[in-house]
Amino acid sequence: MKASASTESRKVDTLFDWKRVARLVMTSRRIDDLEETRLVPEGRVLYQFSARGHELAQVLLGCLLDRPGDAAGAYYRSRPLLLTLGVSVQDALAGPMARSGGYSDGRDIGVVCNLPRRDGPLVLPMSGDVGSQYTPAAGWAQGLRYRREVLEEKACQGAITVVLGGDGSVATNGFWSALNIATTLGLPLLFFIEDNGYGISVPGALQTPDGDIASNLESFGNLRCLQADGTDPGEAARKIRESVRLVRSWKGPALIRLQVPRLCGHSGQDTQTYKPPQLLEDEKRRDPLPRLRDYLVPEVVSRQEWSRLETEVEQEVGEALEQALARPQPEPSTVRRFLFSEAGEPARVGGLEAAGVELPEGSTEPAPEPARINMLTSIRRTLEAELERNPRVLVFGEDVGPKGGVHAATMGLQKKFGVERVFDTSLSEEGIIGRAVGMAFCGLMPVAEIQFRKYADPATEHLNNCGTLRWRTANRFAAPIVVRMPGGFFKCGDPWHSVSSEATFLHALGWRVAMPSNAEDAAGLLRSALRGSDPTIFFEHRALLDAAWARRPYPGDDYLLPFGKARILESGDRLTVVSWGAMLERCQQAARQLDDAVEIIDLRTLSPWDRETVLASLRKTKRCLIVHEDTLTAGFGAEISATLIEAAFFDLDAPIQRMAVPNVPIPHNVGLMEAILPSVEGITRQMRDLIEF
Amino acid sequence: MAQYVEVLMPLDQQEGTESVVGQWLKEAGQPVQEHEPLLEINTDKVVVEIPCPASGSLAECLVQPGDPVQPGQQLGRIRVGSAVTKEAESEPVPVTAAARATVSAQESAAPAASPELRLSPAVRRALKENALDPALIEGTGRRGRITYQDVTRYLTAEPQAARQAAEPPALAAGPAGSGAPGRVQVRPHTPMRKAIAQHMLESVRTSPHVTAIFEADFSAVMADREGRRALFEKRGVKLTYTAYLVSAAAQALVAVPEVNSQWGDLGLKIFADCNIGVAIGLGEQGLVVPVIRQAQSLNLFGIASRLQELTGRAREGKLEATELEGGTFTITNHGVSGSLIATPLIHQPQSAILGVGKVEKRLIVLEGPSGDSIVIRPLAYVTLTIDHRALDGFTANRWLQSFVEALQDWPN
Repeated sequence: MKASASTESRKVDTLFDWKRVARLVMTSRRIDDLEETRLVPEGRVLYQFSARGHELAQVLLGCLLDRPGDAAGAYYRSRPLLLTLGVSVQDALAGPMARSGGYSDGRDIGVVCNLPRRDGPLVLPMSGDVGSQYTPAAGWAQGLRYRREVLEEKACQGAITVVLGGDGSVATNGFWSALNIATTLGLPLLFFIEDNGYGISVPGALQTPDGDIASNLESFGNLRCLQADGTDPGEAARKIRESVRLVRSWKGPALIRLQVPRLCGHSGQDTQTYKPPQLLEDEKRRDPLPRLRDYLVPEVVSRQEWSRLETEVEQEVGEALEQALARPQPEPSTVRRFLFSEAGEPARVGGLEAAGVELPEGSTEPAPEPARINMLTSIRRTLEAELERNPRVLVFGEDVGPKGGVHAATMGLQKKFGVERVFDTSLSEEGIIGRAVGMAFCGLMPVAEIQFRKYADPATEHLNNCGTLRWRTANRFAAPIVVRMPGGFFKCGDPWHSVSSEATFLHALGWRVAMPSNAEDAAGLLRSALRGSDPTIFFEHRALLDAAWARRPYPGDDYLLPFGKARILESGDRLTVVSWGAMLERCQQAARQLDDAVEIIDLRTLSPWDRETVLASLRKTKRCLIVHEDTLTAGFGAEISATLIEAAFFDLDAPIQRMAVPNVPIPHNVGLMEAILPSVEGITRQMRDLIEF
Repeated sequence: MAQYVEVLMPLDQQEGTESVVGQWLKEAGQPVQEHEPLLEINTDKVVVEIPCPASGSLAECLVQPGDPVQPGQQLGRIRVGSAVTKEAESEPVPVTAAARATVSAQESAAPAASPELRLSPAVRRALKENALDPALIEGTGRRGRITYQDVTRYLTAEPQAARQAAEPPALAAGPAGSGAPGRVQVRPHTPMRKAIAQHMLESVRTSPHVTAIFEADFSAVMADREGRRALFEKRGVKLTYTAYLVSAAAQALVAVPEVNSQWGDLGLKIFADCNIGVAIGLGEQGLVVPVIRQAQSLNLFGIASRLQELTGRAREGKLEATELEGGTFTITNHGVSGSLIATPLIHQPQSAILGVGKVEKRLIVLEGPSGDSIVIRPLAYVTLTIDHRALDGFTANRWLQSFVEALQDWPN
């Protein structure tokens, strides 16, 4: 057995540039050595991850990604791949030392990398959480196919997406969500599983039966599975090439499992005491670097050449280290930049702006039609107009296709625009949002529908990562997506369909959040979001979708309402009332019970929120009531109240008060529900109490 | 056995260097109440009242009018308790548990009855800016709380006739005319005169004085005053030019804070608060310089009303010692007695003093786009005299520029 494998390996594969492979494997190894023996002890690298043992398979894969449009979704042990795809040695060394420049300008861990590129393969921005690389990679693959088949960009033909993961990651939701997306849609996506047998200290048999994901997925539909020893140069080269060829044919996804040793701890802090001594010995014998040497010397590379290569790599890495050490520390004054887009500075990859798409200018003046329509129709018409105007807009989510959405906001859109542009997704919110992020990288404008606010819970990881993406990559990448999310109470409530919890998205970083209260604002804010450069939560309040109070004339297909501009619904000088969404109608009715003039402000958007308008009103009235449907503790009312106290303490003639749902979920029984929602009577009482204070 | 309490000269009430006994307000043997005024002490600049330290009777006066006194010195003795009523002397009745219960029950039964005396931040600021006493304002909020609206209502409503300011008492006429030719009349120095003499001499010895002179156009201020004096008058506050000078000086001190300072051996102490002293002439007696504290945080009404209060009490000799302390800058409006330009001496240990000359109509040449023209404008020379150790002419000019702009661009 051993003899035959050896014989087979002796026929050196001629389709790879083996000297380049050797040089890259040595380079990665040399960087690991320097970090482990010098930079960690010197305290220059605080969070160290080696790729020791994984290098050969990754370098071989990288050599096969050579086209514009090829993309890799990677993770923290992917440095050999990144070096192969074009990350400079200097960047690779400077990142872990958190120096300026590079892939995050000192903001992220040095092995959480990215590589924005247009003229060759790129690396999608990594995340620190295991498994979150999968669904954005699926989104990139679907986006690329969309660009080829719908936008007819011929250059995209044959470009593939590869997503790398360890054996631990095959247990994550992200892996399964992406696997379902790729197999059901037949996407050109290669799952590249580097199985080193351990997720930190947890053995692979706890992640998938017998620790063998490829065997377990043998019978999975629409998926080709391959296995290879990732330390055997001949076998790895052949099998990896085979898997790439399969995916390049655009006939569906494939998965390849490469068995590799992890010749180091999970990170610099991990001493591997959980591995039996015998295993450590066996792993050393499976080191791919000596195996590569045996494979190449002397047939392809002479002994002297190998030694010279080693010396050259050592010298090159040494010089790069000097340059990396000479890089300045990042400038603290810039640390707040790029949480949101900045005018005139598009990200290098991601979003319409970076893709060079020019959108019509629009108008901030409404051009109202004669008749009123409800908010639901206004949202549908806005989506329809933007789908028509911008071929890069895609609308998707659960039941948005033939059914037209459970709230009917996408009724008829699939019929009009086709199944590629308006489509149903698998039932995985993680997949909906992660895929949207990948599509945004691809230069599209994804509009994802989360069926009810509460069902965004499984997507929390991707919502959080999407929000911080531009900041984490120091504006190299961005993922402007629009997430439509119906929520709030309706005729009755319940803990699943009536959640609002908008404060969650305001505490999350990097999101713009719109809470429109009527049909006109909904059209203007949704259109602004669809033409904007930042991820946006567009909250569609269920009680407002067909409410008579929220009906307005459709403001026209050009109408844009900028974020951060509140509207004064009623003017007054005795009390300022700040609210948003469905509570506004109740506030207005309450104010009409009083003789005193109450000023009611509709914030319209909560991120950003119009602090100036609220402050100016408070300076006039000296009293403020904030009414919201989200629960009281740490609701957005608390933020507004704290801001006002800081900015206008000496203008306060009464305590700022909040009215909100008490700290319980929304109940199903109508009587119970009305007992906890701020009522017209309750708001009236509170207003009077403040005016009489 | 009778108990006695000593009447002592306070340690913290010496403004200047010399204090003498003015007069006793009670005679020995008279009953006295704790806190009521017992005797007056004349310091260099003010009359300080010494309150009675205990109730009882004045047993003994240990100092006589004209006697110099030192801080901590014993002035007299009070015999405690002899003049108070028997009831007050008797032991307090212990409060029984039952009585306490009743009290707390009453409290909890009628909490709304106790008036709300606390002031909100908005009300505090409005009172401070306008130098208003909350006691004058009727509260319409819950439990009689003064609301912001109550303050604005008070400021815009018609005042009650009763609050018309009484005519200030006529100043005592100065000493009769000069003596016959050839004869010299020696008028003894008052402590105030002596203190002024000492201080002025000290000032020229301490600071190298340098004076810069600018000219200010009062047109804007005059127009503003015409528009607002009636409104201020309704509130019982006289709107004087001095109020404008204090306000403009405060603005200039905020703009050029180095002037609001004091020379120190280690460095220049620059103050955050503009505590502006205003020299108030008391005829032949001399002058006093009461201080308007934190003038930078007062609006014109606040300054005018504070100024009126201080001026009134200065003329009545009723300023408190603390009202003369803590100044960081001084204004002398010497123009009111006719002078055009003066170079006043610095009020030590401050760094600068502003002198404002008489406002009079003068011809000036204006340069306009269609050539030069001659116009008539109300002008005054304003001077800033600085301690040249601390400041230079450049800073003085910058300050004067800012001051003049504040006046000319009024109400900015």
